[in-house]
Amino acid sequence: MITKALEKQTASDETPERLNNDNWYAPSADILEDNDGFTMVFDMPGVQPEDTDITFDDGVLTVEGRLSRPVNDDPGKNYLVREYDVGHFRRSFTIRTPINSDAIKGDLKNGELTIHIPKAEAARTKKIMVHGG
Amino acid sequence: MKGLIKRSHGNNGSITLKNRWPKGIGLSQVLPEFRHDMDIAFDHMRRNMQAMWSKPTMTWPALDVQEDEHSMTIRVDAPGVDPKNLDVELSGNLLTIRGARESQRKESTGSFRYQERMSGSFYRTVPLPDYVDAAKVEARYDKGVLNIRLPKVPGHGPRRITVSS
Repeated sequence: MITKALEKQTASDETPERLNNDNWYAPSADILEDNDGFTMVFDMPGVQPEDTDITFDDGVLTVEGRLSRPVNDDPGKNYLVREYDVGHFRRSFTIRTPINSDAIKGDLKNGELTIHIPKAEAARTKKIMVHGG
Repeated sequence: MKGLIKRSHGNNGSITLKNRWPKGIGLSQVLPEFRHDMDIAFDHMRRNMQAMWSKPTMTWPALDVQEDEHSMTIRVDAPGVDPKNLDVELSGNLLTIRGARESQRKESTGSFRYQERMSGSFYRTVPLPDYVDAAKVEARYDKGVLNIRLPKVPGHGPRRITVSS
């Protein structure tokens, strides 16, 4: 079972650097489950792999990082339309199904972050062969 | 909406202007109540409209338009879109970006626990100012972002006009 965790944004877990940043956003996510595990897909256009952190702690999977402004984004450039999210992002999910946390894999490609979370052997459904005579 | 404004009054059902009000109740007593009902109705409507406007479908994919001395840059969020499925078209002074994104459902055997990401086809149009050189448009797809650059025609573009007194 997987649920959206409350987004913890209390003052205590904010570092000064984060507090100074003006913008936080939550990227959209799809979560799929099959017998082998969970697949999470996040929209992360423009995000660099090195700016993305995935942590799993005490049953909570957190994806966080930052999307920097493009290199050519100098103050001389006027914005006519601005819908794009930039800044820090974070999403947390509580996973109650026993998982194999050592085998969590993340892959950022074409602006999509895909995370594979394999279930622990005990949490998988087993097919039992029925023998007849 | 109707249900909010209509309010039962005594045993007589809804308010009508003729002789339905109990004796002794003047307009001054009914008006504040009517106003209260209207406030509720408008508040309801405002929230509905806000919800409608904030739906991601309205602004998906997100887009930035930036301008400097030499060029205009359009950035479109298109994570997971195959560049082959992206179409940039210029017709007159209207730039249209079309594309499509497949749902994860087609690629996976799993079942959805959450589905927040948009899928399907989309298009956005951007009106271009006449001082960009549309013949020199460049489009590039990188890390899920479509970058479209339009150079400006030298010597054309916004000018600052001095106001004399």
